Amino acid sequence: MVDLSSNSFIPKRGPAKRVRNTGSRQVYVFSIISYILMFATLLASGSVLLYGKYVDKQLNSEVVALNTEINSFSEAGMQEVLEFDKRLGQAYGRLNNSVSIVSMFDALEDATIDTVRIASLDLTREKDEKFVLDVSVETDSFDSTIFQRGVYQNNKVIDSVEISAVQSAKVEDKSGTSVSSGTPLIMFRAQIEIPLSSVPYVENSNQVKPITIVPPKIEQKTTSTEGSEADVVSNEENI
Amino acid sequence: MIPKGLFTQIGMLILSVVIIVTYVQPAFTKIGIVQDNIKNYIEERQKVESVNVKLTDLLNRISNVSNTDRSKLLRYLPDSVDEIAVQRDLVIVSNEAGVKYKDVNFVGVEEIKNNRDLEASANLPRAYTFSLSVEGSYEQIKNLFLLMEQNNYPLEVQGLGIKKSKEGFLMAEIQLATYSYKEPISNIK
Repeated sequence: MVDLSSNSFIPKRGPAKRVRNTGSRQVYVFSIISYILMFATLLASGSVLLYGKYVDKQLNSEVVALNTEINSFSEAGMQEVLEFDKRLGQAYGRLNNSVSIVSMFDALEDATIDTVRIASLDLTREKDEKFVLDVSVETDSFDSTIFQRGVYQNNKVIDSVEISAVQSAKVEDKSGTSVSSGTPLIMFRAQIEIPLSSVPYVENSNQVKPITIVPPKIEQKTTSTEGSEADVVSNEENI
Repeated sequence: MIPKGLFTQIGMLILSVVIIVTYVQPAFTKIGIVQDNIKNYIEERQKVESVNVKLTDLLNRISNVSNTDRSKLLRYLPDSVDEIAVQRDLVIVSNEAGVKYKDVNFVGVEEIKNNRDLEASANLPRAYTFSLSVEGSYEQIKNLFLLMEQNNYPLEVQGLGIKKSKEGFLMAEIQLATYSYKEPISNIK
């Protein structure tokens, strides 16, 4: 059989391998990356721009809200509250430190033995801490003095007691007046400290006898002189 | 041979980087700062809001205090003390107790002397001191103190001296203090 192909004027092409154009494929990948990056950048720029405006708006609204809240704060109201609180605090402080002198006298009565007589008493309140009593005491013997000291020391209301200036006089007292002869007179000073907390004022409903203080009545004189009329007017003004 | 599109792509890449570096990244940072500011503003607004709520609550509580209690408080701790009225009250109380009234005087208003006192007295009311001299029996003097304790404003015994009189009664020299409200130092102009 004759090979017709060898006679053909068309040149034959042998089985050649196709050469890969690797360069153009690299450019293609690169272009995808560059396009994606470009679009992403533009998208991000737009988003950032819009979000930035949104947060700015949000910030402005928060500033306005804060200013509104600050403006709604009432300075006068705060002043009223502070003043009321301060007044209550001061009143509470005094009320909390109010004491009963009557209770103190009762305690002193309980702590004083029968053979002892209190000649004079000086009391000083030392701030809101304690009462200091300087008591001039007279008794008939040293035994009574010692016993009295023990009673004061054991009393629960009395914080401390200091006995001093013990003097023995037989006939005359300080003023020179003669006293009943026979019994020796012992005089001493007792400095007693009573904490305020020991004698607090406790309201007793049975004791309360309120006093009603009424303003003084002003009688208008019918036959008044000019001077007395002026007095009435000034009294009325005072009321 | 280098395709023409490559330069465009490189340009796009560079442009993207430039946009990111010069706009996107600073804008992100700015947004972060603004968000922090928003957070701070929200926190501050909440604080102010809570103060306002608390203040409203306290004002409501004050307005709920009855007029009777309010007048009692003002009676117990008034803005100022009328010295003459106190002296009048002391005489009335003395008469009520049955003691013989001798003398009553207004001594003065407590003054702050130094910084230490200033600090200590910041929460103390203003003190008005009076002296009262009476004469009577022991029971009468005790009754006087009992009535003073029941007074509707404080009559605080600061000092007391008791001794026997020539007539056989007891003479009592009493130093008393009553108080008025003192404004906080920050409010005094």
